[in-house]
Amino acid sequence: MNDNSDILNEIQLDALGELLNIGMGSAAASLSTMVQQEVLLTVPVIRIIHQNDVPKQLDDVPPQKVCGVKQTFRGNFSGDALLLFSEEKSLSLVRAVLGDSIPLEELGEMEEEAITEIGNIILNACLSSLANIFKEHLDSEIPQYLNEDIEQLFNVDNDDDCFVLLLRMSFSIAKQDITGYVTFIMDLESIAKIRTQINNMLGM
Amino acid sequence: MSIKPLKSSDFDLNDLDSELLNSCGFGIIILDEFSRLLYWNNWIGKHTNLSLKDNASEHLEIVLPILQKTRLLNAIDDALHYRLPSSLSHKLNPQTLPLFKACGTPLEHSIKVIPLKKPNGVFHCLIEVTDISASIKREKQLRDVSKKMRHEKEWANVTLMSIADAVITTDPQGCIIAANKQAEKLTGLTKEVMQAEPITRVCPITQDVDDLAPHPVIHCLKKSLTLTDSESFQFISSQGTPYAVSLSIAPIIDEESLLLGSVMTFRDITHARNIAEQLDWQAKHDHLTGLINRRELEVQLDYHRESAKTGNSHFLMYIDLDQFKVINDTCGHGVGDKLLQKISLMLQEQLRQNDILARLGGDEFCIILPNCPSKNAQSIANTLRQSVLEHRFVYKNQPYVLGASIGLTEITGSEKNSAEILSAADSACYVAKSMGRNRVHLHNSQDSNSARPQEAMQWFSRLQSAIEDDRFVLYAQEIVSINHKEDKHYEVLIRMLDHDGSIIPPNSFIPAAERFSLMQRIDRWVLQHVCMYLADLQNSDKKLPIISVNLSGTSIGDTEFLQATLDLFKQYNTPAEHICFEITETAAISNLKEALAFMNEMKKRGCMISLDDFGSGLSSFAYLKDMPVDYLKIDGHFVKNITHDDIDKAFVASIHQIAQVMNIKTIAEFVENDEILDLLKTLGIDYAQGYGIAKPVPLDTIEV
Repeated sequence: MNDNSDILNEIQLDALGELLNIGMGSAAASLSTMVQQEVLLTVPVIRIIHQNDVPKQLDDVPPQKVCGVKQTFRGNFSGDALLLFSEEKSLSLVRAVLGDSIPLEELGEMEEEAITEIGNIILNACLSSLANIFKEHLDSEIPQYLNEDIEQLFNVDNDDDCFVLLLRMSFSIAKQDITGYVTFIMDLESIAKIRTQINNMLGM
Repeated sequence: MSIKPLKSSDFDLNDLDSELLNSCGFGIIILDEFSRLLYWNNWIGKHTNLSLKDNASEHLEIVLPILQKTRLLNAIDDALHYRLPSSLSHKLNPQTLPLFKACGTPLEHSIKVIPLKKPNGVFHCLIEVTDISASIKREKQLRDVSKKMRHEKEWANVTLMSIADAVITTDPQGCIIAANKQAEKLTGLTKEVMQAEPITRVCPITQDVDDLAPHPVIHCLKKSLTLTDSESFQFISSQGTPYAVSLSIAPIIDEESLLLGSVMTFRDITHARNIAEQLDWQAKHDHLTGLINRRELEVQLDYHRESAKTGNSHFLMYIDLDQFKVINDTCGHGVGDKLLQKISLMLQEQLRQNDILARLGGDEFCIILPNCPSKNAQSIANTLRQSVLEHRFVYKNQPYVLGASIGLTEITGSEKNSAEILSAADSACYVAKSMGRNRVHLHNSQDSNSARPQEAMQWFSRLQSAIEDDRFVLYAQEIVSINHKEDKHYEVLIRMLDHDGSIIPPNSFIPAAERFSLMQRIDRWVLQHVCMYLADLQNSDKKLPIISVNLSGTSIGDTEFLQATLDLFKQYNTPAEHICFEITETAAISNLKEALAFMNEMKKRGCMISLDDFGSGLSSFAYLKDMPVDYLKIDGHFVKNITHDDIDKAFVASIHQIAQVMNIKTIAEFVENDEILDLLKTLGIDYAQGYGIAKPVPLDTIEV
């Protein structure tokens, strides 16, 4: 396995984070209008890791099951963009967004649509940020709702050299702070392209 | 980017495509790269009530007053410029487009915005609108139902928790599903620990009688049985504490007769059961000795009466302790109670395992001797009598001698009831008593009176009529001075004259007289006749002897009797110095205060006092010091065997010695021969009385 730091160094990651945070600004604005209250979205941490290591990186105690939204994209580089929450956090988010008083355990799959839309807004923001970097559009599929076993999702047993761009997302809605993760699962080639583009942007 | 004018050729559908899109059950809107309306299908036309022709090539927001502007416009922007699809949920965008149903109510919808790539490289935008009214309605119903269920669950939960009984529910296999607080308390385990555990492990319950029986929950599940308030179960908590529980179990069965599980409720009834057991025990036992009581004895008698019918031979023994009353009165009830406990233990120790010992009350005991031949029963009775006699009871350094009068009767099975058996044994005991106590009497149907109460009642009426008819006669037995000549001295003795003229000895009627409180009347009768006799002698100028008159305990304890005596003395001008009152040691000590008062009063008048039966009871010289006694009459039982029993001899000698010191004269009774008389003489006894000296003769025949 390659050393992760060879793939994107600190500076490159910082630059990528900056760009993504700009994208998040518009997503937050969009969400704020929808739910009629202030929504803050930030990407405090951005890393590149091997996909097998993803479960370990999610929260202190990796949740057994995650739910979220997936959008597969293609273009100059390709992969799956995922917004993930532990099952509980996803429901907290919906509740915060909808201002609902229904107990968590009751929310369940009835909120699939709403989660999908929130995920869609955020993933679109990320994808358009990336598109800005590459000055080239990425074709994306319609968002899909996910509720899966985390091990399965990241194919822990699979030894493919697939890397993940992991963004920790911080949602601040209705006095609640909810952490979620955006992951871009990409092959080495796509990562290399990102690095080239960032270097171009930074004039390196 | 400059906006090109829109031409109708820009968006051309062939007939097939058009028909296809128009038959869709959802809405389709297509915008060009400048977000101008290119097309919508009939579904949109129908629900917006607008025609495509009038509005084509206009911007969508001009055609339709979009309510949730930003979100949809952003999505369109994403699609056209970033080729990004969007999904707009109903929840977050409740009414994006002004769509209505035929009836005029708003149509709930969700929207997908999808970029459409055109051959020339530009992107159009497809807006797909889906009617989700049905799912909204379903969702609402689902939420309502789930809310209701949640409330019901909460309600049930609160109810369950507030039930005072422990409640545990299980699945069909007997694994625990839920438990309330009380169940946690009784099992000593939390709900979480119990969850999914087999009830047999967490909640062991056994039937009192059969601890190998399956767990009642498993049993009820298997057989679909209901158990209600069964109290024969014992529950063992996780700490090992056993509880008596009242248990109810019901299988839970749904409408299709499918077994879903069971619900068990139980309640700790240890306390209640203990109380019930205690009450039951108390109802059957005598609290002082722990022996069974009369009621339980009757139950046992009925059982043995039935058993006797099949040929088994059982006996009932009726024991009455002699002298117990004296101890009770002298030493106090506390001591008397202790003595009864000791006697109970002593009797129990000597019985066979199957013998049943009961206390009827007071100093009366009964023993059922099951499967016991007559000879053995008598031998057991005698052994018990002997051991009561030998039982040394000492209080304040003073030994007391007890005796037992025992009646025996066979349980033959022909008795009408248990009362008849008891009455026969009681009657036999009575006979034993009247024959002089400390003996065993076997009930005999040929006894003149079969049942004691009847017999006693007969004696009562016989005595009553004898008193009324004045059918008594006085006998006199001479008391002779052994060592010196003195005035004549007689003890008067009463006899009853029966209707047929036969003479009835006092031991036949005195116990009945005592029982029916007739003793005082008899004492008065005797005293009156003695006074009359002395008056006659005085009138005929004869020399007056000293006459000893026996008084019962009831008489000396009664101030009325004292007054009556004084009245008689006055009436007959009786020379009091010729009257000697004989009071038994037992009677004197039992009513010590009254006895002393009586004695002192009589002494003042010049009467003499003799303490009768000395040595048979307490033989307390300490009491003697306080009593103004002139004579001690040594109990005949010591005198009878004095010639061949050294102990009796020593006893008599020491009584005499002490009496001498106290300046009291001694009288020996039961002097049956000259041998005894000679010995008494050497011992220095002052007086003698008995068949060997003079038999009792009618008072009017004595020579003075």
